[in-house]
Amino acid sequence: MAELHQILSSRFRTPRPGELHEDLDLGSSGFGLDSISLTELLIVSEDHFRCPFPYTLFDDGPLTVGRLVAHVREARRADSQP
Amino acid sequence: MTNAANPLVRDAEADWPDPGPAWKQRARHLCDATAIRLARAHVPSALALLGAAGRAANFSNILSPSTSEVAALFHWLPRGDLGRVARSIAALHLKNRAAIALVQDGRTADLARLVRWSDDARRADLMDGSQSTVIAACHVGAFFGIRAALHGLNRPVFMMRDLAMPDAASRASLFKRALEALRAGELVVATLDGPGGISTREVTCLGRHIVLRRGAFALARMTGARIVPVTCAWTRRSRIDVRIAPPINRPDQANHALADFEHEMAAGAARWLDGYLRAEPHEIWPSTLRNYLAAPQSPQGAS
Repeated sequence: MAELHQILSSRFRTPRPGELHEDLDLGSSGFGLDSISLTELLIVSEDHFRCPFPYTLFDDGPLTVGRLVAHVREARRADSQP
Repeated sequence: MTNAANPLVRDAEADWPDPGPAWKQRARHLCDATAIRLARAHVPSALALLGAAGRAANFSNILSPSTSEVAALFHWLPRGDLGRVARSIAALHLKNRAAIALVQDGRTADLARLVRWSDDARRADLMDGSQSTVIAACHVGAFFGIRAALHGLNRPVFMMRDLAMPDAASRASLFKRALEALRAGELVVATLDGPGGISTREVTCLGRHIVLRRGAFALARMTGARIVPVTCAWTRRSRIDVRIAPPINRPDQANHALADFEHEMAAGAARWLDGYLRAEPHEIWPSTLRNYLAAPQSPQGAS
């Protein structure tokens, strides 16, 4: 979550205190990113977390903080397995 | 901004407008069904027939645009040319309805057989897989000809959209796929105008303040791809002439803020479109003509 806060602050806008929570939609009805900014967030996250963020992340409803964090955890778990 | 329904002036993320009243949708379906029925017999003949019908309907004031609408946007045209241009725009409209109906009917290959490339050297350059390329399309001329022209080529093509994307999530997904396609060496086709998507800052075209869709410019910024405008035009024999313009001049990315880089590229694209439509006023779509007329005039006027 702290890393996501850092990415959002450096590339888009600084989240207000308490704004970032699991259910927050990062899109226009929540944090306020438009479709191009949402894609840029995935690109920046790919560089930062060193794992792919596929377009299918957009296929299951709004992209929330919780889904992004869960994706990173899942990728790291898969990475750490022999 | 004068008209919230006008996609050439909307500056927020916009969805496609309401398709209009039921009678209009029924008329459209009837027109499409007729076009497909005619095209099953012989596509070029069907297109020629529809073109003639469009001219006749415009001459009889059944189908827009009027000569006064043409004169309002292309005010430098001689009076004697206005009627001819208006009739050509109406003919273009009906031919394009047929092309759209064919694509939606899964018959892009039929359209592809009509394609003629006007410049082999530029075609070869476009197919050069070593260059990351975004093809910029606009709603002018035989717009769906671009899909037909790229049908069955050796280089993989990703059509970002020439049909409606309903919401921001679909567009974000599409944009990410386009990015991945560019990185994989595919040609990506992005549409610069029309409804749906996020807008650039204001640019000037035909003496009007308009906005373009940001997708192509954002892709160029994020991937370093060049933007090559491609248009298609119907020929007198109902063939599709593919026209490839030189790449839009790319500003030095290191010296520009993100938004300024995209704005400079958008301004360059608008200059290209301005030049194209001044040379070929009969290639403008009737809906685009109306949207330009509803857009604010630039202080310099429509010089």
